[in-house]
Amino acid sequence: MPFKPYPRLTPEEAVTSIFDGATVAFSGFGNVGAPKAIPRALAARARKLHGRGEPFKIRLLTGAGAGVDVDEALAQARAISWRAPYQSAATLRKQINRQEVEYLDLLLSHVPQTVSSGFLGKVDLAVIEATEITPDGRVFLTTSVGASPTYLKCADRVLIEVNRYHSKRLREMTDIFLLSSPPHRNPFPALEPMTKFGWSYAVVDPKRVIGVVETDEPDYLDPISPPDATSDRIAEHVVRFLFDEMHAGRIPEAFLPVQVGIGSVADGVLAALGKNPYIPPFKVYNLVILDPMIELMEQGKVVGASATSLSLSADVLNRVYRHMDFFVPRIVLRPQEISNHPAIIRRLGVIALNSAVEVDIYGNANASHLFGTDIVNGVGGSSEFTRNSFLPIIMCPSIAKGGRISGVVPMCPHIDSNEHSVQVIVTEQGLADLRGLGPRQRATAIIEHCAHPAYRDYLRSYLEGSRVGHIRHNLKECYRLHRNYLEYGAMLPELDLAGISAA
Amino acid sequence: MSTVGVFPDLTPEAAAARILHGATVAFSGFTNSGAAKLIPRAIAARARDLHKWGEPYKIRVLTGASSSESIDEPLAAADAIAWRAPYQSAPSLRRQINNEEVDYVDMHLSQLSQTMLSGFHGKLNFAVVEATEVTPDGRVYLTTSVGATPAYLKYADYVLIEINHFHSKRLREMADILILPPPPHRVPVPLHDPLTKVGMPYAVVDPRRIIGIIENNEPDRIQPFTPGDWRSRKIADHVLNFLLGEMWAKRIPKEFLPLQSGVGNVGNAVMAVLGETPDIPPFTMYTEVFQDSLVDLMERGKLMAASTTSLTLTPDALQQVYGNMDFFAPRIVLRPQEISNHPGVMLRLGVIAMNTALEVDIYGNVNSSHVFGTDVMNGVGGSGEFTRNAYLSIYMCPSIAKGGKISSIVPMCPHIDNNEHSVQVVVTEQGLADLRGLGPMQRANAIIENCAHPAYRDYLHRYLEKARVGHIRHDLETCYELHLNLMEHGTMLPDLDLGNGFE
Repeated sequence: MPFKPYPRLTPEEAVTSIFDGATVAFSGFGNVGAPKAIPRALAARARKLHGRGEPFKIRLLTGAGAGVDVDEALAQARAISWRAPYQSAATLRKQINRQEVEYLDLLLSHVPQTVSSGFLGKVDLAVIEATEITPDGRVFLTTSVGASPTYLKCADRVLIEVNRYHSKRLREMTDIFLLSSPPHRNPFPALEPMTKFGWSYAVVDPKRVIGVVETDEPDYLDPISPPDATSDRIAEHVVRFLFDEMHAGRIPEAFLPVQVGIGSVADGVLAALGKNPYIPPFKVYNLVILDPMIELMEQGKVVGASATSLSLSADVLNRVYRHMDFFVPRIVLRPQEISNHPAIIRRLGVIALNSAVEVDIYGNANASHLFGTDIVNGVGGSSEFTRNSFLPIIMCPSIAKGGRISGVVPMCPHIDSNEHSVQVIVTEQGLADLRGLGPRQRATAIIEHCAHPAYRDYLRSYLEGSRVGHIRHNLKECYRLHRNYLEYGAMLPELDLAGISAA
Repeated sequence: MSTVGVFPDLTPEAAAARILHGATVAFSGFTNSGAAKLIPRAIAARARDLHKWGEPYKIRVLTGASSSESIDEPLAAADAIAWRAPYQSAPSLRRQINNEEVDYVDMHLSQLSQTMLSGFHGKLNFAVVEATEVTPDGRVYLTTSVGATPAYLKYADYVLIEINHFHSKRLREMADILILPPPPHRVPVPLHDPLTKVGMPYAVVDPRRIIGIIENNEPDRIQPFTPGDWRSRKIADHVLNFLLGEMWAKRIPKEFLPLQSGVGNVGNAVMAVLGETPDIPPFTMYTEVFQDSLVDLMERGKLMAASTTSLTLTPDALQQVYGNMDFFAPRIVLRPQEISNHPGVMLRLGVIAMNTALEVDIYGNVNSSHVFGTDVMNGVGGSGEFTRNAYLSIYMCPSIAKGGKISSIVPMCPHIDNNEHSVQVVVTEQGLADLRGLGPMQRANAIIENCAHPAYRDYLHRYLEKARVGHIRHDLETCYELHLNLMEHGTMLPDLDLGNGFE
């Protein structure tokens, strides 16, 4: 055999190859499929070096969120200097907002191309979780594909964590295809969410693999709080709207593939779609596969799902592993370049359901930055779906913090998806269908249907007091609500909150 | 069987008489190229007559993009437009939109056909289309633009055709028309090179819906560009040096990548400079508008091929093309705007997108449409599609306007057409900021130091220093101070000495 076996390493041995200032790409998307033992050992190494007064920080890439295993562990050890393309970890978020970590939040489908074109510089190391690596360099990934195939291809050196916890049958769901560099590319033959046109493994040059670390650990996911009354009402509005669109012939009777974001509002919508007998069984074309989708799959309501990660709680994942004969033909795991690809989202005519932190009266959505300054997670993949879908819907509660915050504001201080893309806005108060409306009509629809009644007068008077134009705005007053909140802890300090929380 | 002559010959007045108050009318035209000419004028005359009698008369107007001289100006001057989509650039109409007399929906141009097909904008009552020929079985050979005309012909209840004898019948050799079916049953657009043809040389209409033919012999009214000033020339030089650097670094392949260039003097200057530089290899274009400067580049062999949706050429340049169709026909493809601006095709080809901004903020968000966030200039147009899906997206603008009274680099944009997640490079005559891989603070410093006019740099640095710390620094109290100053004092920094060195 021409192939030598890969060296078996302890996590501590493995991390000695990661140097201060290195750009390290970890597997991981939707907080699953990330390596576990190596980042832990890396954090320990950083602490030790810092204890001796030596600098140690890395530039960190992943597919998207890599949760407790990577982001939290390394941030707590102050081992990150630069981070892309997405994060959702509490400690790292704090460091970014204190400007201790440079953070570049990127559109997720662009990550592989941006890295392979060299736009982000050299990738020194890739650290990838797998169920198996063959001597000739086939890497069978675990619960997420993300950008791992690109990192395996571009990194100078590679460490593999073989995690025995996961089913080796995951490869039957996996469909990996790497795009060539432009201008010599062909269309992808994806005709429906379940089309496969790639391989079940990613490929690495075996000479670049410096070693294999073995683990046996599940992914850890923070539990999502169950849908509450607010998300149930949002879900009701969404389902009624989709039903009406079907009835009007604007959505075909066979329905269209659905994408939903992450969180309790999204879970609520999925549950409501599942329960409604008039919504036919449908397919999912999404970034992540979530617990409620598996349940709907078992009920026959979701007939297939394409995503880049299997972001499931331990119980549900084990249920999937026990019934692989049932789930394998119903799930495809793709690289994020494909799961979020503008052309496929558009071709399939996806209905995109995403949440926002706030929306403004014209339909611009802020999904990432409180007050325009403090990052929550990042733009992520939601705006790729919003931008390219057949019917983009943005959902958010009309108020937060017991009414101290309005989810509908005069102007968003950060815009992830703008009014040119957003077509429908939903809060628990109601739904604003913005298609074909000019700015004045949009503003009226959003204020009257979506804003909380307690904030409507304020928003109406903002409009009246604004400079007339194609889009009315008052640049002196447009952030009054945000500034009030920063100063007084409430967007409208004089509002009687007692009545609001009951609404 | 139908025969020639089955379509009734109408006068423009008789045609206009068919179009009722409140009708939704879609005109051909992408820029002034290929726009219907006689019927819009006759509709304007009719509107004036009716208004004189005290009768209401306004229509809802669709086109491919702006068609100022032929459609928007005459109709707006006659107060005949109630609602307008997807783009405009006519002074009278702009005024009416900014006075809130006309509802204007400014849209991503590639999404127009899909929105029509899905019925998102309601029913389309009339299509008024310029053609070189229509056959009895309903093949319509278009003139100098394709735009959204094929979709309008397909979905309109009634169709009026202006046969224009001025244009070469050989235009059909450039046309490549394909209408995408509704989702979810779509196949990939099999385009892998700017010149690939995937459709038919004609659009199709149900002949029974044609209510009349009008004959016409008028050229398109295309204004020549004023020669670029020294600032455009310097911007072009910065772009050139950057692209050469990228080629050297092998981030752009040796054979180069297809270019897209926005309409206007800066875009023209860039094309001229690229054309003159021997180190830039002969290249192709994948763009939405084919302008004068490209005709010479093509004849000289520097521009090998171009895909576009309109031939926006002054009469002289158009004659140059018509006089040498054997040369030009195989080198130019005219496509529907759904394909010329298709996200999937751009991503596949790896287009380098170069567009102009009204203003850019210190983080790289771009406002290309709304002065003060309120007054629309033209609209987002196709810039959003190219910027979002390009291999490299470049934004260009002079660092100052009005002799220094306006800085194009501002703390925050009051309207965002393209956000920092998509914009990779910002260029002014001062220099170029390469934002790839940079977090917000680094972006801000790069833009202020390289792109802002020196007279505004101190102000912008101070803004940053005093702003609230976060992932992105901002001060929601003063972020629009420059804009408010301009509105109040006619200049962004009233204390600035504009005496010398600002022209």
